Amino acid sequence: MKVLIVDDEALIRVSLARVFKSQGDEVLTAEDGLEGEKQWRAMQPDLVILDVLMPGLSGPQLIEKVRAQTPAKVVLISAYAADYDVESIKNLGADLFITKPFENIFTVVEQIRAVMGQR
Amino acid sequence: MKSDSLQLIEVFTTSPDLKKTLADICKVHSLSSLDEILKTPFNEFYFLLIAGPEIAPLKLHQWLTQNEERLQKKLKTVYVYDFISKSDLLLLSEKSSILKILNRESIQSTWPEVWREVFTRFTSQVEMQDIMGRVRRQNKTLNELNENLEKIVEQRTSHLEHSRRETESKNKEIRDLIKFIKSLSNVQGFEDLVLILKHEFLKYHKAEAPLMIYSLTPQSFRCISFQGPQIIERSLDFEKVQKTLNDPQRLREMLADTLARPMGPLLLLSVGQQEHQGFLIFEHSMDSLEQKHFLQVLERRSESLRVAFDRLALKWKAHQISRQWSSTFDSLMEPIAILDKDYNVVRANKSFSSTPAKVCYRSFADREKVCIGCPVADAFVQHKPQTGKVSCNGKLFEVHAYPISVEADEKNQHMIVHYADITQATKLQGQIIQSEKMAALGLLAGNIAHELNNPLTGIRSLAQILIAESQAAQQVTVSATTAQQQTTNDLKEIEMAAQRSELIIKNLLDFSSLHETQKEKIPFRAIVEKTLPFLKTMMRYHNCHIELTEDNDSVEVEPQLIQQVIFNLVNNACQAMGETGNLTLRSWTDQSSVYFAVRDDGPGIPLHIREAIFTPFFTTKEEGQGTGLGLSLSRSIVEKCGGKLELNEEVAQGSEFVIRLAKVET
Repeated sequence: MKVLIVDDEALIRVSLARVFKSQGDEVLTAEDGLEGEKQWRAMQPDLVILDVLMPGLSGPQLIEKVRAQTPAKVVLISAYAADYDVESIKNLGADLFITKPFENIFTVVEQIRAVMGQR
Repeated sequence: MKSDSLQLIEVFTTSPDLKKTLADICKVHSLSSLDEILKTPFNEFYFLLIAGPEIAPLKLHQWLTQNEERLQKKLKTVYVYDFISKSDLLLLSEKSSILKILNRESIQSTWPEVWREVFTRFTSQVEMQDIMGRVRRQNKTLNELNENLEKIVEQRTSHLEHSRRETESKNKEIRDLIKFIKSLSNVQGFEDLVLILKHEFLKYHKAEAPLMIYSLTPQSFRCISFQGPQIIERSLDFEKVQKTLNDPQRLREMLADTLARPMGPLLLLSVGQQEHQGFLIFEHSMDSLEQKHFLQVLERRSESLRVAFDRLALKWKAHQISRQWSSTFDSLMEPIAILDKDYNVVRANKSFSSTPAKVCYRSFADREKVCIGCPVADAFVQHKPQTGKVSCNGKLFEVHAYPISVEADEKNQHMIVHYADITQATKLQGQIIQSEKMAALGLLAGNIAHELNNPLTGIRSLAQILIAESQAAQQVTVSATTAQQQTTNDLKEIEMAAQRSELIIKNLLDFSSLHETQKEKIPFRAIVEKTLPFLKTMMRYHNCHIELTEDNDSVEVEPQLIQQVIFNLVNNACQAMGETGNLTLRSWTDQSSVYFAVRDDGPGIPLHIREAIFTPFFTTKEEGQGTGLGLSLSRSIVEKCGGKLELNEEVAQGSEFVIRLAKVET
């Protein structure tokens, strides 16, 4: 599957990309919301992993702009866990919400795959 | 020169010539015997007797003696003799003034001349007698005048004597009065006044020693009386006295009642006025005349008695006011002093200083110079109240200086200085600042923590991936190199460090007010164990002994906060010890409490700063090394959890801080 990772934190992008790539997925990354939008529209990914707070466009803003035109599953990552719950995530058009920091990157990837119906 | 006042008596004259000559000059009576002289009215005349030798001198003398009174020396004699002895002559001259002694021949021969001579003598004698008579009369008048004068003088003298005596007695009275007034002027108290009065009227046996009733404060009367020589003062029922003052009979009964003895008639003199009433009372047994006299004497003294009483009353009141003022002054808790321009303490209350010294900075602050921040000099210059802050003996004072003029002299100004202890207030203010600072820090920490979480998550994730890959590689190549293993271990270190950082950030977030934490029941051991990982790095150079109790040591606290405290204490201990040292973490319990001690064997805390170490912003660390908040914050956290954080003063080497928390049942 095609995975788009949009996060302004390089190490997070690298880590997530490395795990998905190692498991045979096609991975593309973007450093901010605007770049992310371009990529999203261009490559039509199956899965978009979005940071909430980013320069340019925030994760939720990006979802709002692109969501209608793509069938991709969307995962939001944020350090501000208290700001969101299951209901608000659904309303934003996301399928999963993951809080930072991660306890274990592999567990996170497994969670994402579960949403994709892959596990 | 014939004169009417001259009559000549001729006795036994023989010569007719003579008779003729005599008749020319004056009227001549020719008599035949001496006794015939007495028959003539010679009262009005002077007579010249011419006695012939037929009348013996002795016989003539006898006759003159016998008729001395009747003749009244108006008879002058010319004795004609034949022969007269000297003794006869003397005899005759005693009784009569003999004008001339003639013998017969000389009468006849030299008659006219002789006669003229006799006559001249006679005339001059008569005139003399006449003058003598007038002199006598004038003398008599003079005598009478003299007598009158003497009488007048006598009268005057006696009058003078009387008035002198009167003046003297008046003088004595005045002297007595002056003496009395003088003695009153020295009177120091009401008792003295009564004593002097007793003395003054001692001579009036029928008047007893005086009593005095007086009122200086509203609704109270006092009475001074004598019991023998002893003076007794007592207070009286105000109402009772007030009612009886206008009624002598009732006053008498009231006093008899008060003094518990029978009371005679009374004389009363008021010496007071509206604000301070005073009455002098004399018990007496005088009749009305004696009373009148006594009252006169008393009346003369009443004005000075009033003045003396007034003076004593005012003095008493002034003393009262002064006492009231000084007790108010002294009872003020905060130090107050009155200073002069040279900082000399004119007056100070008890809180000001226990060590009396001349100048304020010595007695109050134990300094040799004026305190820094003292507003007194400024207030003297500005003539306006000034305020400053002065710190002394570990306390901070807000010093208010108020200029005052104690005397009328404007130049002689004094200063009231009031010291308000603001140590506590300043401390509270410090705590307010601190808590505001903490709130800001919390907000900042929250944001920083979230920012840090991003890269930390990346680091940790990447480390996890690299560890997984490294391990996978080692499984493939059966003979894993030591270097590969070392890399894996290092990656694990990176991952763990990132995890620690995350935990620290989490704690920071928990600690900041943005995240409310909940109290929970938790074994103290668990809290310590959760905290130990953070401490690992800071304890790395030290020998650490950990002895945690196995007993029930559950407490009900917010664990993150207590963790923070443990962290602080261990951090302080490690910093105190420097490079090496022994650190002991120990917990134990008793019936009701759980104790946890952090002990180091560093240099310990100097005695003089032990008081201050729990004060906010107090730090011994170099700038940038500590905020000075650690211990004060730790103490407030432990106190918030209902516990105590104290320094164990009994530790000789190093220092030991002990947390004590209430034990709870799980």
